[in-house]
Amino acid sequence: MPETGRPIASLLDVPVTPADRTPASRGRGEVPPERDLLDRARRGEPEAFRVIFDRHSPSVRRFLGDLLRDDAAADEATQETFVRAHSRMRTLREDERLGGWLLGIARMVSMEQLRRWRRDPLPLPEEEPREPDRAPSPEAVLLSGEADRLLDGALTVLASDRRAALLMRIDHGLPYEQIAEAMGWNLQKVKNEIHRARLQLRERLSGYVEGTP
Amino acid sequence: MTGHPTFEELEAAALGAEARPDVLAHAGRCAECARELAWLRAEAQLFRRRPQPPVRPEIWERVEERVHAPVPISSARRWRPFLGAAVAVAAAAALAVVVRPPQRAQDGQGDAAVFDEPVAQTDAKAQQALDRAAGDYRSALGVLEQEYARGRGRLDQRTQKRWDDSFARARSLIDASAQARNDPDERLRLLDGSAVMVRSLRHAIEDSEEVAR
Repeated sequence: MPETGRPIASLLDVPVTPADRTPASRGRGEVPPERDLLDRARRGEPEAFRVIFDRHSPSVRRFLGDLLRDDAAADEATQETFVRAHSRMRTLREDERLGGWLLGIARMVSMEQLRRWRRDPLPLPEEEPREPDRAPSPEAVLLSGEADRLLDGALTVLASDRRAALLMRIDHGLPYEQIAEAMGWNLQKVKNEIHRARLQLRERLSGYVEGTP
Repeated sequence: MTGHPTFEELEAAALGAEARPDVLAHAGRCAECARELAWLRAEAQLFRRRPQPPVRPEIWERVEERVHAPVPISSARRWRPFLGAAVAVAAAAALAVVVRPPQRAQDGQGDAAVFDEPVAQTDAKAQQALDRAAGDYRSALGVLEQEYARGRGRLDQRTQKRWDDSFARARSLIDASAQARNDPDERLRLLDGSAVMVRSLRHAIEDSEEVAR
């Protein structure tokens, strides 16, 4: 179990809101209707693919936004992800879940974009990063917009693969097995990478929680 | 529960997926597990409460435009070797015309002087090569059209029109090249255009074959 060594028991008071979507409820709930949808999409029914897009594009767009950190590029990559998904629909195995499969394609698309950027980097934004406020308590940190900025910054420093795996797990609720499929890793590597990502994340967040960034 | 719960059990409890009562009860008694559970819950909330980026309507519009291009034809493999050979022969024939050097004058005849007879021979050979190229492209297009005809019924009207237009355009280029017999440069340009179209059509059907596989 990850060990941060910092007392944050007060965070126990922070509930997971009912609106939060849980991994299990999302993962399992999608199976029966999605199977029919997939069959129809494989048969070339345009309406079925449209429903798949409507259902999954928010998650894909969110994931790509987190990986690419650029709205226009994330829009473009979302488009590319669904075009590729459409052409590969028949390669989706019966036991694969659509959500994880789409995020796997999205990750590949994002990697290609990141490689292009490394060859031809974008100009740096002119705005200087703001120094975050120091909040005295975990609750205050969590309840303020500051936590969101902290998380944003913490995600940025994670290596892209590690970030992708962590997002798939926490933000998109994929089971470890699906993440392994999407990332092309074995199960142990998925667990190790997500564990390390969590440690990195906590190290940055806990510093602010404790007031010692 | 004897001993600590596993990390996965705590994580499931934190994410609201499978919050086993014994795990929660243990966390109520164990400071270490309570701290871990608190972190996991805080992480989940931090991630999930972030705003959902919008999925702009233009994304679907572009996806729709692009996914109508590929054609799901599964039997492309039958004609691929023949088509590949035809295209290669045609390309070689066209290339031979391009790279053939002009016949230069004999020594002592002056740099600018060019024999009429060799030029006439070269033109005849060039015409023959161009005839062969046009014939090969026409044959290749015929094979492609046969394959397309088998899959056409499965396509929607918009996609059918797109493919029909592409074939008509390729045919018209080859026909136009035949009418430009007295202008080798123009003929070559038209054949180059038809070669590009034939290759594009071939690649699209190969991609469809990949999808169907």
